[in-house]
Amino acid sequence: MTTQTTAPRARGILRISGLAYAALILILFFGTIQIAQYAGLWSVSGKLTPDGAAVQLSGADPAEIKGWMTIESVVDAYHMDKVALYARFGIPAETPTSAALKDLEVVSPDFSITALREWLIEQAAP
Amino acid sequence: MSSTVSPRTPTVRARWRRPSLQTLRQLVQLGVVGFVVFVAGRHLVLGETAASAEAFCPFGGLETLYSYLTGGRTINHTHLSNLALFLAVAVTTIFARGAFCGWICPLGTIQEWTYAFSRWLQRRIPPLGRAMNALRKSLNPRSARGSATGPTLGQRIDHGLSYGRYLVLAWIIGGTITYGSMVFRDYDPWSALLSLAELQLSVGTAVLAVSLIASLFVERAWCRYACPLGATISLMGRLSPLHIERVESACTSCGLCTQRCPMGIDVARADAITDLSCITCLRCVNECPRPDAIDLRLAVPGIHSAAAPTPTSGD
Ligand code: SF4
Repeated sequence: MTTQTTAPRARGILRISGLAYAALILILFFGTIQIAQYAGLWSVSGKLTPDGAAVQLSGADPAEIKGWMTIESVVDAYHMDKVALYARFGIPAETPTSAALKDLEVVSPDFSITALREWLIEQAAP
Repeated sequence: MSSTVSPRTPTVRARWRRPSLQTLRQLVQLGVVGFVVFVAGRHLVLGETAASAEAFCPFGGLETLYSYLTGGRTINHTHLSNLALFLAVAVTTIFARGAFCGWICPLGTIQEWTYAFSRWLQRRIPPLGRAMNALRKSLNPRSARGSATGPTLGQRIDHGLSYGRYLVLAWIIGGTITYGSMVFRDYDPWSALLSLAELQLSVGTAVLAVSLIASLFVERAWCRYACPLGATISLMGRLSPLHIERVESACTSCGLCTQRCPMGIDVARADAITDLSCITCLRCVNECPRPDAIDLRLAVPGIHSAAAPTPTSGD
């Protein structure tokens, strides 16, 4: 893919100065980011919505579950029995519900975010 | 082909152009690296309350694009900022070709610095300088080309490896769509570099180390052979109306442009640089001792002109 150094193309109609090119790059790149920010397409954290509000689990779609969320937030959102959750994934009983889901993978080899999502989908199935 | 000006005696205009534009490019690169260091440092000090530098990776935007378009949500470790940055890269590429790689990408900048350090070492250690000269000669697209010997071993290897980045891209797109997760994250040298600040080691750390070691020998080795974002930009860059053009009648065929090209493109044999790997760094323009021999030009892709000379076969 890198060998095509020549091609029958038109002689350029306009010479672009290096300075104009540098300005074009900066305007295009940073301008697009600026427009995206104005349009609400900007959030640097999965914990905040584009408006800056904290992300909350709706309890309707397990795909929303992220590793930084706590056991408590999932138990509350899906109205589930904490004991059943601990038993299903072999989570040690002394693990506090304030623990982040991503940390459970260390204490419970059976646990993963994907497995939790699949289990929640199974539970919801009629 | 006129050759009234020696390649070693740049005109006043060329002398002016050389430092100013490349200095400006390096300043832009330095500014971007500085911003990334600032974000990574803030994340290290403030922890989860500050944005991670990963949130500013445009490739994350490409990885999450499918999930966002089909399900309205981003995959793990990516955010809307990744999508916005990918959009910014796409817009920049469609209008200004490989400018993101040549002017903005911090990983490209770090590789340029690594190669500059290698050149510095080569000047101080003569045997190393001689060995590297031999390697450069073997890789230089002008060496042994067109002769009975055909491409050198270095050129063959360079050419073969240049397809690597398209394979990496295909693997990532396939994997991300299939598994819905960032299959590349563990191997990503950029992510590994950011994690180094948190003393985390991964396969990506090894990929980063290999890339930087390779950059001591071949400029921008990661960009040339493995970067999936570079591959995406190369493909999108075909739509750009801008490209480098060489005017054969003004060229002295000194070969400085080919020698200085960080992507190993044989600029001196081309009329229009349509090579997908051109990062539009404009080094070839700046290095040319003949101000009218090579320039960046706006053209309508695909329209042929009677004024344009028949392209030479560079390969
Ligand atoms: S052809 Fe010129 S602009 Fe393109 S990468 Fe090589 S030196 Fe840079």
